[in-house]
Amino acid sequence: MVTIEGLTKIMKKKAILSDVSLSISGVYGLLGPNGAGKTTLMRILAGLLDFNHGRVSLGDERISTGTRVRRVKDIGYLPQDFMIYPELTMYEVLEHIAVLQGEHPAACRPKIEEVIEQVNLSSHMNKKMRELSGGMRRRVGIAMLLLREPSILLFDEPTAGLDIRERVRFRNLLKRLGNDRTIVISSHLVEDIEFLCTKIGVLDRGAVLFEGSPDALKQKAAPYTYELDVPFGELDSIMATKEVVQIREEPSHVVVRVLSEEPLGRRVSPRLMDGYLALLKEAESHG
Amino acid sequence: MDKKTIIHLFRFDRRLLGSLYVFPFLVYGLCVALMLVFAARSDEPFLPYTVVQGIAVPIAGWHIVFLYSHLYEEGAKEALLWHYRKTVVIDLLRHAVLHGGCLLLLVIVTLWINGTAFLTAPILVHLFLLFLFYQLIGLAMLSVFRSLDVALSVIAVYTFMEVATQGTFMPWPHLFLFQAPTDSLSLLLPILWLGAGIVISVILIGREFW
Repeated sequence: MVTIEGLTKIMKKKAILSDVSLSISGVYGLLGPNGAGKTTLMRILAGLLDFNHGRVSLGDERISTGTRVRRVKDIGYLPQDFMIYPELTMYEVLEHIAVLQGEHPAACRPKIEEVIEQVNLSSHMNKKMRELSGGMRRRVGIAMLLLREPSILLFDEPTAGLDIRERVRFRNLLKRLGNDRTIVISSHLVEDIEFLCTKIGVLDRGAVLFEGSPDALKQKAAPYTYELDVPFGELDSIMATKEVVQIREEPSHVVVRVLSEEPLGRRVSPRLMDGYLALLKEAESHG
Repeated sequence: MDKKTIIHLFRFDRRLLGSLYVFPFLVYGLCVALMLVFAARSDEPFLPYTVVQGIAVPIAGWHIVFLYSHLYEEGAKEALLWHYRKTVVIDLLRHAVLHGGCLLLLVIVTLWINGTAFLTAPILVHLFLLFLFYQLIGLAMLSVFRSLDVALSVIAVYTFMEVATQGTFMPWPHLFLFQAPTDSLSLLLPILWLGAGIVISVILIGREFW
């Protein structure tokens, strides 16, 4: 488990993270709108960025010294835009990374083939990095991390920019990896978090709004989530006056899901998206 | 680190840089030709030696700069930096040995042209520090500017200005010896500047990788 206590990061006199405290375990989703400080937090955890105050521990061991997290073998980080050595083949890249980690060049092939198999890229082993799609490149990034066998994997917006098939494949891979590792997934896409995560932290403007289970986040919207059956002609006025979170088209009407403090239509059980939006709305109303 | 790993690292460099890899060796060949031409046309012993200082020594930092520039490409640094923490010293050492060997051959050519009395202890110390400086400064500049173009431009402009004008163009620190030191200050100043440059480079590289 990674414990973050009172972490503050100030850049250009602006608090990017303020007094962030989180307990990260299992498959952990870090959710928040753009600019919430998710990437900054991930980069701090990966030891790539200094912070101003706070401490970070891995289990019982403190891994932050002064204002930086030590770059420990246990933590692997995959940045959002992963691209290395575009002119080399995937195998050449992984072989080199394995050697840099101390593997013997003559003996590392089985391990490389094993991690390539794990990320389901065996048939692309001899393709150049620049010939791979964005999703494939990210899977190479995961293979690279797996060579190191870290117990904690940090993924920054792992599915951003991927097409739907690649996104599903990537999510399944993350789910599988989460069986025996701690995984932190930062995303602004609630669907990814809903599918993968066992625990969620929500950041907004550098502060923690929520930490807990997906069910607890859903419950934030329980008193406010309603569905209305709306004739096609009235949809525009509903959208202009209510907080619409989803529209589902039926043959004779439209089913509109809204967040509302006033009773409207029928109350329904909230989903993660509803809870997340209710939380952000609550934070916004409190300034 | 065993022999096979070292061979792997050199092979990887070769694959990564492609035809750029051989450029420094071509320049070393060109340096020999230039030294012979200068020796034939002038009696000034520092002229062939300027080729060693002003062209061969700076070009000895070529491989490190180009190899590590891949770390600063979009999307690479955050993923790769961790892996290079352990290897950066080994990379610096193996390229120092590779290029140090080539420069040794150029020094032998200098001695053949100028006679062994040319290479006094102060000149030898200066040459060693200059070599060390150019081995480190490229990586240090990369860590500051995070751009191959900017790092190379800074180094190339300084070196070209200094060598082409024999250190007379700008009132900035002068690192080269274009004539035999006439007093202790004319030797001490470049050595001091080189020492400072080396220390600063080591600090910058250390901050980046550890």
